[in-house]
Amino acid sequence: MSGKVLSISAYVVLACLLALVPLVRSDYWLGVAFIVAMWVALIQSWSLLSATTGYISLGHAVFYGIGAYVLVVSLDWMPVPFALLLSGAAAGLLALVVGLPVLRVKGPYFVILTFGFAELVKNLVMLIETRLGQFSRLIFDTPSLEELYYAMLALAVIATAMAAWTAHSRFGRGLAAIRENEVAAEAIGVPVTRLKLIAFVASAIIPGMVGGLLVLRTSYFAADQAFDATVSFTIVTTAIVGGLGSMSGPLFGTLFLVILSELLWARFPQAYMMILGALLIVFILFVPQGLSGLLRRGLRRA
Amino acid sequence: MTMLRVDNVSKQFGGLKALQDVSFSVDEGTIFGLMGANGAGKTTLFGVIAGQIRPNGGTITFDGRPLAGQRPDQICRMGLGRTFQIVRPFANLSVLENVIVSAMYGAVRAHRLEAATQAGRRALDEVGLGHLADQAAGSLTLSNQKRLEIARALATGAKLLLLDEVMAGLTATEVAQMSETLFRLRQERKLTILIIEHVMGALMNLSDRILVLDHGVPIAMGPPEQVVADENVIRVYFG
Repeated sequence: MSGKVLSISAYVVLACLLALVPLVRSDYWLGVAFIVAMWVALIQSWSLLSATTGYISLGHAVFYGIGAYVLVVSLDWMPVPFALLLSGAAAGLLALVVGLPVLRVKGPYFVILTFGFAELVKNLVMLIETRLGQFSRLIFDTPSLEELYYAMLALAVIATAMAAWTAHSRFGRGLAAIRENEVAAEAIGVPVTRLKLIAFVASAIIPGMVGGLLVLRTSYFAADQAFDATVSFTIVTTAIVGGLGSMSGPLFGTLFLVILSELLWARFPQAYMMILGALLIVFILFVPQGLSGLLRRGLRRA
Repeated sequence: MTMLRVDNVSKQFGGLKALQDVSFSVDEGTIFGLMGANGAGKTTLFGVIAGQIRPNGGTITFDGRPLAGQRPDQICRMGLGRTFQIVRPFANLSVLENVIVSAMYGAVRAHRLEAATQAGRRALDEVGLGHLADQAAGSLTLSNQKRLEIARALATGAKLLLLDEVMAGLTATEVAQMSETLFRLRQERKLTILIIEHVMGALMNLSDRILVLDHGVPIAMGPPEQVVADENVIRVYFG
């Protein structure tokens, strides 16, 4: 129990420290912190579905993209906070509609289907935008970076809190049973279809809002960028490198990713993707429990 | 009172008639045995009753309510628990966690962790797994995984248990222990049990009534001593 209290206080301290970043008065560091919060929010959300149930989504960019698109379109009609909520709602609704058919298939079929679905939506939005004569959209009058950062940090905190709550709840136990053996889970009374759908929708809402915030940050929307499959790949890779099935995994994964990309992205953009790929292979083969698992083992030995 | 009533149930897989017009009823508080060679349709019958397999015809009534169109999880929450012949443990969860999920989602609806843990521990103790509660379920021996199957079905708070070859692979001593456990469970939990078993002696000893299936067709039904003397059964079993 004291271990639990300790880890919760560690997270609170971490969140408070991150909340102080704007005091540094450096747009560079604020930008980096924004990206950190963004990946934490995305990966914790993804984990809510994929790490708990084992249904690996390779299409989470679709929720991020739809959030960005809805925000950019709805900004003409409503103030930013409402547009952001609408982004989340749209992503959740999309997950609800596609979830029922998509969650019927398992394993590699689910992976491919989510990927294909994301590509489909991307091309659909590109087609619509082209028909409308819009190749990209610019946003004027965006909120300050500081405001956007606090919003993103809030999403990261909410996503982490959701993951923590799920891990110890009846809901989370039901999802774990589904991951371990779906037929047996159903036989002991777990309403598997409903639980998977709830997890899918819950894992989509925050990424939708993250997409909205990022588009406010870049003040630029282009469908092929907003729905970029690299986002999906990076989520999965970072989650695996950080370690699945623990609350700290997404944090470690994100730190690792951001440090890596800050070091490499500017200087060797091509090498960046290659190194990401190589890391994924190394971790899957040799460190399947990820950085958080390594650390836990290290601590136990010490 | 009738706990389970199966009327004219049939199931076909392509050209294979797995079950043909199977009818029987199980009285509350009794142990009902299902006998038959491999491929006789026993496990298919379990799947049909528990909702995993949709029958082509016939009706099933459990505790006075028809089961048609109900999903397995709904049937479980009505108070029907089953085990799987090929064990399906939640391998990466602890033994205790396995039964806690059962209690949380099953018919007892012990949503809170304390209540679910209590119900789970009781079920583990009843099948003799209490001392292994903290082990990963996947690390258990096969006979203990079979016990876990029973514990998980018990922890749902089932009134009717469907046990699919829970004694296969057990030693003679363990079979005797398991029979004793099942008698005691029936007494203490007021259970009704439907059991598939290849260990003939154990089935004879346990069952109040037995149904014998041969290639999906019921060929004999009645008390054990009557069934073993049935000429159809003798022909099929001892040729």
